Amino acid sequence: MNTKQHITLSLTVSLTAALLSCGPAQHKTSSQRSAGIGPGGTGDAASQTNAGVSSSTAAAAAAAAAAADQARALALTGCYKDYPAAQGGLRSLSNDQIANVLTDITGVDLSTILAGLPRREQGTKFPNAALAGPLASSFIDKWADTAFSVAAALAADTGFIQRFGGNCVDAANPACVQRVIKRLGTLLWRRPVDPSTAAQLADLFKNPNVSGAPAFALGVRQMLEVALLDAHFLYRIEAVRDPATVIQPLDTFEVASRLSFFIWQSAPDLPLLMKASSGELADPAMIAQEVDRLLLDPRAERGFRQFAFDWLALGKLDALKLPAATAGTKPVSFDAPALREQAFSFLTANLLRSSGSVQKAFSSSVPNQDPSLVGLLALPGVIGGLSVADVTNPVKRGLFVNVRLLCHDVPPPPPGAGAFKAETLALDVTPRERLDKHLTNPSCATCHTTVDAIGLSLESLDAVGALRSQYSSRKNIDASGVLTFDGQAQPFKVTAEMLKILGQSKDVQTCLASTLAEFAWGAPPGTANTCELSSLPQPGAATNVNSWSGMVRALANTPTFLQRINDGVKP
Amino acid sequence: MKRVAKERMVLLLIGALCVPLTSLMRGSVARADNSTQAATTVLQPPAIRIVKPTVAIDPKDFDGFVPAPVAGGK
Repeated sequence: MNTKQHITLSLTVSLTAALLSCGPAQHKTSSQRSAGIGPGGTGDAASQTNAGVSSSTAAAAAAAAAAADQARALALTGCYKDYPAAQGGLRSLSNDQIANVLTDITGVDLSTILAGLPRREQGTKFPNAALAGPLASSFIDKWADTAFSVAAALAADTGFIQRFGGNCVDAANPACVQRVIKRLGTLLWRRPVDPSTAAQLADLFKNPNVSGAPAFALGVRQMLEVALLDAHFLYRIEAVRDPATVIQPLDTFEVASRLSFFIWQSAPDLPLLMKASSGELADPAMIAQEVDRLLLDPRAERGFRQFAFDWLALGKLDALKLPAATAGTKPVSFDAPALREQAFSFLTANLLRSSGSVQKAFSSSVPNQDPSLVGLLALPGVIGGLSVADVTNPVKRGLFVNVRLLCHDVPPPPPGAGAFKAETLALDVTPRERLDKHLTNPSCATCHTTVDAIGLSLESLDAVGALRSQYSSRKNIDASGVLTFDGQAQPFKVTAEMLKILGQSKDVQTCLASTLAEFAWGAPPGTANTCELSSLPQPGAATNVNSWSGMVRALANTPTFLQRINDGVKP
Repeated sequence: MKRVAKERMVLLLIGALCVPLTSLMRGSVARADNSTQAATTVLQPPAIRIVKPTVAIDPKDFDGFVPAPVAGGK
C-alpha cells in the first residue's frame, strides 16, 4: 500500500473512528465507556477550586488565597444552576498553533515551509474563537502540500530521526517501527496511538526498494504525511460520550490539550500527556499543579505573547506609515518591531511574570517614557497602532479603550458615517473642535460622548506615544475631561492624570478577567457566563490571587473550561 | 486522490456519524452570546466530571526519549 492510499485510509478510518468519537452509533465510544471510563471527578466544586492554590507562598498569603478560593468555589457551585455554553467539539489549530506544535515536538525550524500557509480570517478578537468547525477545503488543500514538505524536511533531518528513533532505526525491525510510530503519533495527536492504527502505519515502513537507514527515514516520512493530515493533528477533538446528555465531560487527554493550548498555544508535552494517561489529570489538584508548571515553562511566554498581541491589536503597528521628515520638521523615530518588543517586555514583567495584582499593567511606569505616564496605554507599541500616519486619531483611541480595556459594547457606526482622514486632520482645527460636531448630532452622540472623551484625554500623547503639549499648529492641547470609572465620574486635567485614574480603576481589571476568559474558552463570555466571571479573582483581592497566575488557575477550574456542550440534545 | 475530495470526505464523515456539524459550530461560537437556551438546563449533578482514558500511553515507548529543547518567546 502506498502513502497516498494510506492517507486515504487514515482519513477514512481514523476520522471515522476518532473524529469526535461521537453519537449513539459510535460503538468504540460506547465500548470505551463500558470498559472503564467512569467518573473522574473526585470532589465537589469547592474541593476542586481549593486545590488551585499554590502552597509555596507565605503562610499569610496562602491563607488569604485559600479564603479567596473558598469564596470562588462557593460561587462556582452556584454557577452550575445556570450553566453557560461550554465550548468544545471541533476546533482547528491556528497557523501559529500548528507552527508551535511542530516546533515543540520536532525541535526543527520549519518556519520557512509553514510561512506559506494561508492566513485565515478571524473576525474575532482571538483566533481561537473563529476556529470552531471544519477547515475550508482551500486550506486543507494547501495544508496537504505543506504537510508533505514538512514530512520531507523532517525525514531528511538526521537529528530528528535520531531523537525519535534513537539507536533503533531499522525499518525491518518491528520494535523500531512501533516505537517511532508511538512516539510521533502520541505527541502529534495528543493522545495514545491505538494498536490498529499503529499496525496500519507500520505498513508504511515496508518499502522493498530501499534498505537500512534510508528505508527507516522513508517510513518516517510517509508516516508523518499521514499523521499531519489526520484530523487528530489538525483539530482539537472533544468527544460526545453520552449522547443523551447536554453537558459532556472531557477526558483527561482533552483536558491536557485545553490546558496546553490555553497557556502555551501548543500541544501538551510528554509529562502532561503522562498525567492524562494515568488518569491523574482527572484530579483538580493535579490540574492546578500542572497549570503552575505550564506557567513557569518558557512556552508560557509564547502563549502570553499571542494573547497580548490579539488583546491589544499589536499587529496594527505594522500598518502605521509615517511620512518622511521634511525641511523644518522633526524626524519621527519609529521602529515597529522594537516598540512591539518593548510592549511585550512590559506586559510580561507586569502580568505573566508578576506575582502582584494585574493592576500593575495599568499603573506601572513605562521604560523610556515620561515618568508621569503610567500603564500600558503609555506604551508606544500600543498607542502607536491607533494613529493615522503622523497624527493621532482620538476616535480610534477612544474605541480601543472602550472595547479592549473596559469591555464596553460599542455598536458599529451607522451607514454613511464619516471616517477621519489624515489630510483632514492636518487642517488648523484641533481634534476637540472637530469632534464637537459628534455631540451636536444625537445619532452620533450616543456612542461618541464616551468614545471621544477618552480619545481626547489621550491627546497629550502624539502619534507614536511621545508626550507633547502643543499641536503642530502651535495650539495648546486640551486633554481635560470627566470620565466615569467604577461608577463614579472622575474629572482630570491632563493625560497623565487620566492614565493614573484608569490605572486605579477596577473596571479595567474586571475587563481583563473577562478578556482572558474569552481567550481561555475560545468564545466571548455571554450573559450566561456572568456567574463564572464573578467567581474569578476580583479587583481588590489579595495580590497573589488577583495576579495573572491566579486568574489562569481560576479559569482552568471553571465549568466552561472543563466541560463541553452536546448540541445534539435539545431540552 | 483529489484533495478536495478528501475534505469532502471529512465533512461527510462528520455529518453522517456525529452530532450535526452545524450544531457543533453553534455550540462553539454562536451560543457564546445570549442564545443559551439549551445551556441553561441542568441535566446532571453539579460537579465537574473528568473521565479517565481507556487507552493509555505505554511509558516504555518513551524510554530514553529526549524531547526537543524548549524554545521560549515568539
